[in-house]
Amino acid sequence: MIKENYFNIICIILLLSVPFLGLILDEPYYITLATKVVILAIAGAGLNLVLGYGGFVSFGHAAFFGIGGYVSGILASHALNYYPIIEWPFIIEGTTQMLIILPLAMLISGGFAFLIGMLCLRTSGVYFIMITLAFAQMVYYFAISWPAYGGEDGLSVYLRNNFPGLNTMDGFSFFSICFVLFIFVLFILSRIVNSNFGLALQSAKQNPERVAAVGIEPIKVQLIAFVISGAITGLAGALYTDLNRFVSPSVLSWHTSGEIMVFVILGGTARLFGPLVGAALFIILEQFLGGITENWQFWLGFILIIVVLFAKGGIIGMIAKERRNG
Amino acid sequence: MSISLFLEQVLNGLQFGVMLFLMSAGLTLVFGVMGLINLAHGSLYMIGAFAAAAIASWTGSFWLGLVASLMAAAIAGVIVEIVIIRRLYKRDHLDQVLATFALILLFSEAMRWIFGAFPLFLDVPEILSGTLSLPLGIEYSKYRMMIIVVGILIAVGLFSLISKTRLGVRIRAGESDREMIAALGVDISKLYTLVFALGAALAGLAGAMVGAIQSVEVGMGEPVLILAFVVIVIGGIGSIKGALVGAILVGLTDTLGRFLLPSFFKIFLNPSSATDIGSALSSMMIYILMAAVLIWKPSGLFGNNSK
Amino acid sequence: MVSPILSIQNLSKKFGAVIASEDVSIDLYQGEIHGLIGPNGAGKSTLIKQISGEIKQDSGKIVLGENEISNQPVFQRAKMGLARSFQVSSIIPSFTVLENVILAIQGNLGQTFKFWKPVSKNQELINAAHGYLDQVDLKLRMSILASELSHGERRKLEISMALALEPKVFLLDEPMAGLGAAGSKVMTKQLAKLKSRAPILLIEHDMDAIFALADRISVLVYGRIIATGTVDEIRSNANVKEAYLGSEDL
Repeated sequence: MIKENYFNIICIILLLSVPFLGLILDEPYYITLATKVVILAIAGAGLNLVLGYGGFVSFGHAAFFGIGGYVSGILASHALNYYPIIEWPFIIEGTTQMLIILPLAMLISGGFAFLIGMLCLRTSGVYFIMITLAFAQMVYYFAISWPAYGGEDGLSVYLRNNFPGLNTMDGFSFFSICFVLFIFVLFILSRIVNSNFGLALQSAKQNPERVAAVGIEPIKVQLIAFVISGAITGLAGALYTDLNRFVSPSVLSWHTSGEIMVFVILGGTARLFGPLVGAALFIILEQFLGGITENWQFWLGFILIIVVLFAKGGIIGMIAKERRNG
Repeated sequence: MSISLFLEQVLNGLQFGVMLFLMSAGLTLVFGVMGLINLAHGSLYMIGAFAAAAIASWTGSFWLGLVASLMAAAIAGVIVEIVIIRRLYKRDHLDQVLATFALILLFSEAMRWIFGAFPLFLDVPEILSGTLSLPLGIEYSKYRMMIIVVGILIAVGLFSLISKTRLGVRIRAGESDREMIAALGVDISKLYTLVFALGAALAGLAGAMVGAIQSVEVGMGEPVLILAFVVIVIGGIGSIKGALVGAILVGLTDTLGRFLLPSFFKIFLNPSSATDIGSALSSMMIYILMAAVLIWKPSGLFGNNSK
Repeated sequence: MVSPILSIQNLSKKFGAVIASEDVSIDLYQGEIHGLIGPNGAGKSTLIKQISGEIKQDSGKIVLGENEISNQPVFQRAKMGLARSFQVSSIIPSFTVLENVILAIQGNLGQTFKFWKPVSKNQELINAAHGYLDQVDLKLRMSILASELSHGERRKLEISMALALEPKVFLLDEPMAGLGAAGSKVMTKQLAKLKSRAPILLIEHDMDAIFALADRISVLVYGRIIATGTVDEIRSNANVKEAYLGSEDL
């Protein structure tokens, strides 16, 4: 068992080695893969705040992932087609500036998280799981039936969004942006988790009664955590659309919600680098097992059951010592 | 728009509702009695459909296919309960969600491996093909009418089972106090396996019956599963009555919504916008309904907050 | 006329046909320990839940200081000055003793929505927590995880968290529960000190403790208060003796 901090550093080194290898061996595919891992890790990190630290099971996080994705897709596609989004009462045009798109994606998905959270957090336990799932489905079906943005076929964005000073069409540059954002997100999350707020959130997970008894409203704490979580996952969604230059309703499906949960669990809930480990494992399985058999998800399911039944702390739980606060 | 068309849609809504009830009843029983949230319920629906289609095409008999669906789903349910599900009763909801999500992956891929990627077809039996002549000039599919009738019979059967039999007493006792009935000497593990298998059989039957109207393919169970969740959230977890009321409500809302909303919008919007907005809105209707119910009654219409 | 710090007025609560509380009135004055006793099944826990806000009363009022709190949620009552301890220790297991107390302090000061500064570097909160732990003699154990505390230490932690709320009123639910003879002696001394901070509504089964500590006692039987008075008055009350017949030697 090694200290968690050392483990985290090893993770970063291993992660960075992949795109560097891709650069040296001239295999852009490795870089794309690493970028995908990082983006999914951001999504997982968002979910981890409420799932791991907050202790409530949101089965609808695909909604935030997808909303972020569509914000990016819609803004970019309007800009690239020189077609304003709204013409009345005032003109709103699209944009391909990442520095505008990303914060906007976070704002809008965070806003949805606020609305959905207000409705869902009045319930708890199983009800909560089911209605987060149901709301995500609602967004999914809406995206499918709204024809303006491709409906079921999805929306293509033929260029990457702009970031000042970098050529985002270059895989390594785009990876760097995503990696820096990932580290930044983890930094923010670690501050939040260790702050007064984080203490209240984790306490509410274990004993909401006690939290109320000391004058803190548990629902308010959970709602704010849910909003932050939604915003972060929305950021990941926006980056994902940019990576693929494509967004479709499948990012809003319950299957995606499940996959994000899988990253978090496989890596280890309430561990800062859990989502990274989980996402990496997932992508590795997808690439290697997927190359061997079409039915690779069978083995994913198998591994997941083993982890749930026998290795609750995830991969990190098996390797790194538990931090004081678990 | 004629009255007969409207009434036909009402019947469709009822048929949809009844099918949802079969799914939801099993789900809500398993949750009420065992405290388990089971995402793999949709897979049992799918297994029932596949079994029916496979046996029906092999033997040429729809009815044998139906029997096969009940058996296959029940057996799958029993196996899964013994091997995996029973380890989950004492776990928290997150573990249950993940493990049963993993089961979905297992079942889906297994089906794909056995039957391939293409959908199977199940034919409506001769005796039920064609339409029934109803008052007001409505011609309604005999097969769909059968589904409604079967659903109502099963609902009545379930109510009698729960309220009049020893098993029903044990189920109701289990719902109110799990530890107590174990202390009273009821064989819990057999009871749980039985309840799970019952729910599975109902799901399998639903899958088989729907399989003749829609195609039988991998992944057919999950959209229905999610609707079943909406139903039991609306009806109240653990309540069969709630499942029935919720299912009929959802079935009617969805069917009538899809039917009426585009026409409604055509009144003041141009036809293409009306269809767009109408169908987008109608796909969201049930979730709006669910949100409305939850704001009014956070535990559902007939639920109690004991879970 | 001095007005009571906590005034429970005509509280009633029924569950179907079962009467849990019937027209219960209790007043708590500054500087006193008001004991609440009663045989098992008297409805003490339902009453406590109504006072703390977990359950809503059917009728009646609860007034804390100048404010009516009858319709306030649990957390709001705590903010308004009601500090409650639990019969079954209610602590946050994965956090240390120090962090548990800090949670109470930040609740009291309304400092929960701070997202940046690590708790472990917040000297202000830490020093304040040291103080409250000192008062219950738990400071030496402050870095131990709450889950690893002994039963007696958990009871102390409960008191410490209640202190950290700087309350107007203490609502203590069987603080002696599960403590042996030595532990009870310590807790009794602790509660006597507490009185000077704020008045205490003390629910207890331990008669020795009640008679040693309480200034006044109310007796709850089948949801009704059958007697209120000083220790001597209650001890000699015939109705009370009858209610406890065979179960305690008063």
